[in-house]
Amino acid sequence: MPVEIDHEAPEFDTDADPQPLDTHRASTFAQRLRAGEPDDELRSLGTVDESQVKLLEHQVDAAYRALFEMDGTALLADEVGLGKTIEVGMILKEMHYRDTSDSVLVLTPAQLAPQWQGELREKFGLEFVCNYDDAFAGFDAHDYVLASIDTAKSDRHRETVLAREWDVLVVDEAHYLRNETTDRYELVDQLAYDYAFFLTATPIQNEPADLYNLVTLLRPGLFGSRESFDRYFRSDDGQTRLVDREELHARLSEVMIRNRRAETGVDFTDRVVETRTFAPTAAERRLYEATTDYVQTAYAENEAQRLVAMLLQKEVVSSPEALAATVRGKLGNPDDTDVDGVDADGADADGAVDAGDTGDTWASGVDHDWEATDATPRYPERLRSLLETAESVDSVTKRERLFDVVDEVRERISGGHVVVFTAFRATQQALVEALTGRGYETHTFHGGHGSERKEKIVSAFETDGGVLVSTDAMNEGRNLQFCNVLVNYDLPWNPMRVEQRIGRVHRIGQQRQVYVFNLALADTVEEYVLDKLFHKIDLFQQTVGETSQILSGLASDGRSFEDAIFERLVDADAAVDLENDFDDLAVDLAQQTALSQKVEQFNDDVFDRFDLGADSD
Amino acid sequence: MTETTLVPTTERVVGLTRQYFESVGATVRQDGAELTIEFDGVAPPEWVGGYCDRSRLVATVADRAGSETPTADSETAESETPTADSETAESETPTIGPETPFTRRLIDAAATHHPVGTASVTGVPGGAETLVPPWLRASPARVASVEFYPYYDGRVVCAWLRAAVETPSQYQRESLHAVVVDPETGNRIDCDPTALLDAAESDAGAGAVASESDIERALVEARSHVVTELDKTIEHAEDSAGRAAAAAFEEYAERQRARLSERRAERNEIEQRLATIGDRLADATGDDRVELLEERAELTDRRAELDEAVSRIETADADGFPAERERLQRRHSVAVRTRPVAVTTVAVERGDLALELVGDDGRATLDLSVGAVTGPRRTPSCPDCGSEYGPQNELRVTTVGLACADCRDG
Repeated sequence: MPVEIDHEAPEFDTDADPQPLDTHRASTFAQRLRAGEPDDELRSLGTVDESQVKLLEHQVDAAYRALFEMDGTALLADEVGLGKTIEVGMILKEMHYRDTSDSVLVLTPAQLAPQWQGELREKFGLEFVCNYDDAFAGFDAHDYVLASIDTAKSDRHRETVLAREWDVLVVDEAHYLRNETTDRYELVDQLAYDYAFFLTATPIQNEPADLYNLVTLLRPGLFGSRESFDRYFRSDDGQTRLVDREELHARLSEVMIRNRRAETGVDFTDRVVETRTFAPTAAERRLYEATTDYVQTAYAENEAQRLVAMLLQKEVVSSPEALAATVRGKLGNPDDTDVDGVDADGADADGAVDAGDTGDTWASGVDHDWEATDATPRYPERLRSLLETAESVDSVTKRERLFDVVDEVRERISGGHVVVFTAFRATQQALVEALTGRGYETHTFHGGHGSERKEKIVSAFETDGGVLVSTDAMNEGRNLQFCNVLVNYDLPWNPMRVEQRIGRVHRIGQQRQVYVFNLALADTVEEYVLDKLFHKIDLFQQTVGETSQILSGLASDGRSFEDAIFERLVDADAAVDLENDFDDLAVDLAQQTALSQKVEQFNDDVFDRFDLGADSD
Repeated sequence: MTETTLVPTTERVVGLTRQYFESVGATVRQDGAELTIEFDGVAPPEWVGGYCDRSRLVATVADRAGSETPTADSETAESETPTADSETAESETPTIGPETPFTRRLIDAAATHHPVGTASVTGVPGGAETLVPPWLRASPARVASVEFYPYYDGRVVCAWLRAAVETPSQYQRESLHAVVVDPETGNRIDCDPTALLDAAESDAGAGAVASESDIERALVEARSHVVTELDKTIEHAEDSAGRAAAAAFEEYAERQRARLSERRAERNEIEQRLATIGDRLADATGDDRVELLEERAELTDRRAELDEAVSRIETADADGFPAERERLQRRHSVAVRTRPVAVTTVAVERGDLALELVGDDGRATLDLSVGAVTGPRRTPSCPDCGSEYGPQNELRVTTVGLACADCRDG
């Protein structure tokens, strides 16, 4: 086999001041001890910050087996919710630690890319450039690239992606590669890589041939011909059954790892969810209707206004202050891209995006550009009228009701910590003022804080108790499990983001029951989203993995879930149309949920009693 | 593993803890299983921050059961795999022992703390007798006495290199190598680096400081030597990679041949259907005829596709599937990387080695110019004919002094 020898530059500065032996000896001794560690162990394990991620035994085991026992290609097929992303993060961390991953390509469905980027950064300290980042300069410009598979296979990028020899390839939701006639399959089939790790909880989507196609990408010929693979199964009365279990298991164990929840002992405490809907005041109702009207008109005239329109629609149910801030920005300086105290690209003081303001738009897979081609605000008079109406709201219903929730929590639930999430800084500011004015111990967390400051805020919240009012800048890695009460003051339209909020408190290691309060204004888009969509699919009781599977299924035409909500809102001519449209979307969502469950069950049945998980040899 | 490698036992890790923290100016005190590190007047290293309470760090030494036997260490290491209950930097007492998170951070910090060092060696480590060259030991002359007289200082460079051999079928094997090089000549010195440093002292003086070019020259030789030392490891990796590539290729070829059969079978079926359509067309009219013609056109296109696919696979098979072979060769290639991780310059003495030799015909003295570590700088020559002494031309002690075997016998 070819042998490539690379003599790398010294790890140290060759003209550094030399140290006397008695101080230098510790370095050489440490190098000798480091070399004495077994080669086939995960050395980077000890460098993982356990305050950011709690590694479970089955995850460490999966990472180990994928790297050391499977010839560099593995299908990670744990059941939903067991942390396949963590397993891959661990593998990439180890490879980075050992310097064996100069170039890494992670391919995911578009709406999951930001979440991947956040998780890899926060939990494993790995920096990936995402194709949605402004800094992205092409697939040949960066070493660690995270991209939607559809971008990678596009005419614009395909050649560059294929021309490069990647050290590591990761494909998330790999069941989308089940059809060998698709462009996606062809792209992955032609990619050049040394190590490849595919992730999916459901390798079989429709039929066993899905598994054949998927595994063949990783290990061409492992199953032999299609005909010989088909012999593992038999169809009776439209039901497909596995008949040669032993042989299939033997083959699969060379390439697939599958852990089951029942075997891992992963245990979550219960989650109690309460949605409180309040009738808005007359002033709030006027403001809502005026805003909705403006949004429908502006969007109908110029679809490039979509992002701003969506923002206004979300802000009006959050607080009058949030809406007013954006409107003022548009009126005061049409070219001013600062909205609601956040930079135009959502970047904050330490460069992280305040996701509540712009992150949701990444899910649609389009570049977000605050200013469309037209710099002049639409209907300035109507905007001024909106501003006046917003400023005239003197009693904010949700805010008043929040105090009730906080008081109730203090009485009924011991501990005294409440975290309130809002997507908007203006809302946050107003809440903090109000809560402080009422004598509550209040803490603020947003993307404008540097990393050290964020640590201190969370630490003070843990020590002093009270209420933490946070934006969605509180990302994946942040652990608030000392708190078990969460209030969604306003609700992201992207269910993944809702799950991410809840995941701050409801995670492995949480000892107490978790309470989630959702606040919504009646007869608004928020109530529709909550009532007709999220509750319909029991969103608040699902895991992140389940939610992402459902969303991936829905977004097969490239549109995001948020886009789907917004378009129904702006297209509805009357309340009854809106209700019907949301009902249709709810049906799609429910169907996708049912389909996901059915697919999961089929995979469970096929892989039942297969020992492909932790401790299997 | 190489000779420079040390298995991290509890005792060694405790030793490193002491060495490292004392090197940063802290004081280390051990009381049973508890180690207290005090940072009075010095700032604790940054990585230690979360473990420290004010200016003190208290750590627990792990169970000593694994300190004697490396096998027991690996069992201990498994049970200490970080889980939900293991230490966090923030709140619990760190544990010092193989595989604990604290130890991992300690090793990483210490390894890069002071990678460039100096030392000095006085006299000849192991005694003057070790400098007697092999060609002299092998000769009939007996060495009655040997003395080393140092006259001036020289230096050697000990380069520490980490080497990694990687291929997807076995991931990565790492090793540490230490190579001692004479920077003046660029030649490797055959001596035990760890024994050299064990005999060395800290107080080296300016003579031990090597220039950048000295170090660079030493690294060139060290890199080359390490690759030679890795021969067996590379060979093993090549075997493993070759097997994996061969197995993958066989699987691929089998699948391609199966596809070929499938395509051929489908093509045959299409041929039969086309024949049937041909027969039916003879009598068909109107819409039926149009339908048959359309079906024939579709099947003809599909047959053309299959012809192309069959031809492609047959050609590739006849050529031995070169594209896939190349892809697998590339994928399973063995990557060897070396990287210098530390360098120690050692000041050594140079001088004369005075030997008193006794032979059947008399006694004689021989002076050799030597480095105390590097050994003889040159091989002396016969005073009569000028040829160098060596295994093929042994030194003899004659009645009139020294001579080579040719001159004495001839």
